[in-house]
Order: sequence, then C-alpha cells, then structure tokens
Amino acid sequence: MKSMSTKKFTDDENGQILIIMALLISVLLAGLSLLYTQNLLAGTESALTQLNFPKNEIRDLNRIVEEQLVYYAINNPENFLTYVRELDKQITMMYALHGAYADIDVYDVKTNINGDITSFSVKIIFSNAVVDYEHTRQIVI
Amino acid sequence: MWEGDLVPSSSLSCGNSRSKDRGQAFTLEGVIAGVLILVVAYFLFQSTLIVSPLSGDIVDVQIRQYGLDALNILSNPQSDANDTLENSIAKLNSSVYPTELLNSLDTILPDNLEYNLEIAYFNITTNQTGIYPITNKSNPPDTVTATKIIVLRNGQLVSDSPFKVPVNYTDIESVSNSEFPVVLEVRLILWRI
Repeated sequence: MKSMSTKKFTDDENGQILIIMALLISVLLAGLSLLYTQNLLAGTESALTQLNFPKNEIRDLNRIVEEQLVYYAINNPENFLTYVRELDKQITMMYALHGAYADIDVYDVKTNINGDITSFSVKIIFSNAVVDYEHTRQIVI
Repeated sequence: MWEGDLVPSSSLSCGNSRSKDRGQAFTLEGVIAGVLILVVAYFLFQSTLIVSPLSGDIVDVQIRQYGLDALNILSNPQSDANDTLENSIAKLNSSVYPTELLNSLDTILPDNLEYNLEIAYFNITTNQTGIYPITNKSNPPDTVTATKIIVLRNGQLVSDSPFKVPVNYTDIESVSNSEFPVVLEVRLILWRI
C-alpha cells in the first residue's frame, strides 16, 4: 500500500501549471521592475539635462546683442567697438564663474557717409561641458 | 494509483491519455503566453521613453524654473517701475535696500520657497569678480540657483554704487563714463521650506 505522500507525487500533476504560472509571473515582475527602473533613469536623466542645458545663458547672450549692442551702435557709433570690447570682457568673466566660456565678436561694421552704423555682424560663442554653441547674426540698424 | 479509485477530475492527471494531452496543451499555452508577454515588453522598451516625475531632480528643475520665471518677469529695462531688477540694482548702495524688488519676489514665488538674492559683478579696476549679497538668510545645503545676466550703463548707477566703474578707468579708454557698460549677474538662490 502506497503512502499518501507518494500518491501526491505521482498523481497530482497540477504542479506543472503552478511552475509555469510562477515562471510567467516572475518574468512579468522582472519586466515590470525593469520598466520602473528605466522610468526612474529616464526621469533623472531628463531632469539633469534640463538643469544643465544652458538655454537661459545662451538666451541672455542673444538678448544682450539685441539690446546693448544695438544701443551702442545707435548712440555711440564712434566708440562702438570699444564698448563692445569692454562688454565682451565682462561677459566672459561672468560666464567663467560657472565654468563656461562666452564671447561676443563684432565684425564687418558698416557705416554710412555720416558715420552712423548701418549694420554689423556678430558671432556669439558659448561653450561649457554640455554644449558648444556658435551663432553668427547680422544686425541691421 | 490506488485500487478502486475513481479517475481524478484534474485535467492534468496522467490517469489516461486524453488528460495527458490536455496537460501538454496547458504547458504549451503557458510558454506561448510567456513569449507573448516578453515580446510586448520588448516592444514597449524599444518604442517608448516614459519621463517620470518620480525623480527628486524634477523638483529641482521646477524650483529653478520658478526662479528663472521670477527673474524674467522682474527684468524690464524699459520700465520705470521701482521693482524691476534694473532699477532696483541701479539704486543699490550700502544704505538702500531694494524692498520693492524683494516684495515682488515674495509675491511671485510660491509660499513654500525661500530665497537669497545676490549680485555677482566684475571689478574692472582690480580685474576680480565679487559678490554683493542683498539678503543673507541661512540656507540648507541643497539649494537651486537661477541666474540672469543684466547690463546697466554706468550713468544709471547711483554715485556710491558698489558696481560703479571709476572715471579714471574710462578716461584711459577715452570713452564716456556714463555710457560704460556694467555687466551684472543676478543670482536667486532657492530652497524649499
């Protein structure tokens, strides 16, 4: 006569289903945990990118060109390049405080017969550990 | 099997060949379902990038954005209002405190944020940078800084301004002292309370 435990081992084959379902659930859990981890990583990565990407610094440089350089070109055309040089010097120092390099180069200054500046070209350079930005614009007064 | 036992009702019982076949079918179903789930998971990972707000860094991004928005709102060189960055900083000296600017900052920023405001400047005569603190609250180590570069002209600054460019420097350059540019960096240091 067989014992009860022997009977269970030989006759009860629900174990197959249990093992397969356990396998499926563990694969599912592993997949979900992977998805969760990816999610966290993507969140962290995108947050760091937003924190580090210097869009405001670049925007400030463009704003200075549009406002200040145009102001000096209109109001002080005879000393325009001197003011631009001083402005550039201070901007470079300010950005260096954050480990970045910024530069505003003005060239190709065109004047009319009265000595008024009619247009100039400006190269805006910004560089840090994340971004190398270079943009050339022509400003027409 | 014990003598006299009935055929078990379990579909997976190996009591007869039909039950055996059904067990194999279940196994096959399980394998197919598993493969299906894996394929779906694979395509999910390959095709989508879900940006989650779960990371604590997102909070820093939001705080910084609050700061940048506040500085952008308050920066208005064309305005005569007393609470703009340009006008407040132009009038700044050892005895003048930019109360209106700070009141506006208090209004703009959410109640759960505290801040310090300071100005970074370049001392053109010593060729060194300096920091001029406007508020000096004690802050925790995890702060977020929003910055904005503003440009004033020397003539806009009050006579005893800490950012004033001396006349003897502009004389060397042979340019108007009042028109000389002064580049300042406004730093808004934020933290949660």
